[in-house]
Amino acid sequence: MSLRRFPVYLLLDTSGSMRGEPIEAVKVGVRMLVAALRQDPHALESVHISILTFDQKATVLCPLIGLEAFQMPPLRCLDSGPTHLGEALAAVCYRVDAEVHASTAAQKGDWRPLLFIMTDGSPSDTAMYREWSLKIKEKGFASIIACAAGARAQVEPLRQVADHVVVLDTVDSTSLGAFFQWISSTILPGDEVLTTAVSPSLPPPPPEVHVVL
Amino acid sequence: MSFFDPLQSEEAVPLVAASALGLLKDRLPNASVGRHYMADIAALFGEHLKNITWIDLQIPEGFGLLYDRETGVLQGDPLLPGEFELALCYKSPVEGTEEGGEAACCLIRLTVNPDPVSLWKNIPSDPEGLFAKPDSEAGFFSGVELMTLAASLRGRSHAHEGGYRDDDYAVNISASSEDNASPADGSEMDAVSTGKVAGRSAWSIFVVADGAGSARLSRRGSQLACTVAAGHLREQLQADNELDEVVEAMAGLPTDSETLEKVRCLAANIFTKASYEAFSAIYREAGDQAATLRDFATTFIGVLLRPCAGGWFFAAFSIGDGGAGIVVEPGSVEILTQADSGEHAGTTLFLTKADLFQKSESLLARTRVLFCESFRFMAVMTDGVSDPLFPSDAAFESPETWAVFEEELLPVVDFLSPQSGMEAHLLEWLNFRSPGNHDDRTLLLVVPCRPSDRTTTETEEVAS
Repeated sequence: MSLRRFPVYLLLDTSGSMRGEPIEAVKVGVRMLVAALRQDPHALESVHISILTFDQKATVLCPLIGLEAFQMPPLRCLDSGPTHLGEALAAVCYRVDAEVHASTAAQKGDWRPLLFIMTDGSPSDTAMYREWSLKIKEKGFASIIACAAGARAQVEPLRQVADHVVVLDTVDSTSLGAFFQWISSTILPGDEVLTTAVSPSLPPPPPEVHVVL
Repeated sequence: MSFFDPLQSEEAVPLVAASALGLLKDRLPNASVGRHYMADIAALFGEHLKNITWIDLQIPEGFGLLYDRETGVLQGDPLLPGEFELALCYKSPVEGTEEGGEAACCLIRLTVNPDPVSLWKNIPSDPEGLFAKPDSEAGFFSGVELMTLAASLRGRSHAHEGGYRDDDYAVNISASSEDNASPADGSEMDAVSTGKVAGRSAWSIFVVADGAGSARLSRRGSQLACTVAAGHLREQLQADNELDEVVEAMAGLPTDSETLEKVRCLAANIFTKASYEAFSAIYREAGDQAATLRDFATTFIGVLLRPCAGGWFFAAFSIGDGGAGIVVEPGSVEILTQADSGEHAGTTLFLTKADLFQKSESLLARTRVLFCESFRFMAVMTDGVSDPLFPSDAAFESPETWAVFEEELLPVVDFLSPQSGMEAHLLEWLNFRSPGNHDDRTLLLVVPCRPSDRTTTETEEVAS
């Protein structure tokens, strides 16, 4: 019998501005997220994680893999260059089509996937971004949560694609740590919260994370 | 080769990065507590292995894993969950030395996942809370023709957070022998004397409902769905009704599609009225609680069953997932429901969807009827039971899967003669482990009394 998976996609900004402390904080954050999920029996059995990064191109750093087997892949930043978030959305759509199983007569489908987007800038490939921010709505995500990290991050483009946008004032280990901790709490309290047709309500964020209404 | 333990040695052994040693990876595949583990450590060195004379991996005591220096394999059954760094030491030969060369160590990482079983908490729900309901419930219902075992158990995912059981059920079995001792009219007295309940009190009613995990008051939604619908079904069937008249008037099991379709329409009417009544009760409750219908989201499965000339008559109606099926005889299964399942797991349709009642065709399509000469047992279940045991819609229709289901139940249920007390075993059984399936579970097992049982009942009746 195949297990119904709960796919969680992380879309992470690795453009030049993320170099140094920001990307290190993201690494620590993802590790904390995974460690927290591993402490939850339901998540441990059902959560599957995929990591995609975007800078001047989108990269599938880690295809969808079970939480038990997941290992943090190396995250590297370029020196500089554009932020191709539109291309990254397209890549996520392709991955979901390829990886997430829909229900058939012979097999029960996976849970609806979740998508978290983290960026400290704004999409440079605006036409592609516009196109795929519409297409991604068709992919059956239970929820898309975007995080605008730091002063340069623009909230407005993220609102086009995300159900919820949160803002971090700074891109440091404290605020990113709080963000990833909070992500784990949005995934955890009974997986059903985010996976059924009923629209999800988010748990209260920590002080470092502001929800944009 | 002389024994050498770099970490215990007086000489300082350099601790270097795994990449500096030319290791292919600085971490091992993840392990899990409770699952046998095996990793080829020597293989980490790749083609460098030919230059290595000695490898050791330092494993803390009580870790559950052992490194075999002969084979270069780490294996065992991990006991401690967590993130670990293990010291991997090796020697590579240096020309002109006897010891076997220079030693170096690096740290390699190993993640050991906890055993999910050890992580589940079982926190009782608050018995004083709004719409509190017991975390589990079981019942044995005995009638003249039927016996029913019912069990409903809060799922691990709810128990983990101290949440309520969102499932519910109602069983309203045809007039029991006691009821028949003082029948309302003479015709039913005749029925008793033949050992069979006939007419309007011959109906048995079974309802299960599964409150949506994401809806905050769904435990009340499922409760209302069961009690209100079961009550209303009973009311309709006790009063003069065409369904009863048609079934009662039959001389034998009908085979013509016209009769079947007529009976199905009549049953659909009865179910629609009862489920609409349940919907309305939920609607009123939502108003009283200043909540939305969505907060009470629940599925609904109702089955009506009565004996008829030549056998049995079943009618079923469902909204959402879970299902009802009949094992007619070993190898032969009749399914009474068609689950509403979306593209993804956990997406289904709920009784609380207001526009459901505006489409009469869809309500008719939700109704199935069946006549059969005899049956072995009927099971009505929420998706907490059907998901793990019938992993697809196709499996739910497969006699093979039902045979496995029956076999798994055999240690706790005697299908030939269920007895009071077995419901407790059934409840215990419902707690079976199935990775990823931790929803509330509700199961009704309905078994016809054997003719010999009936005779016994009849004799007692006559004697009294």
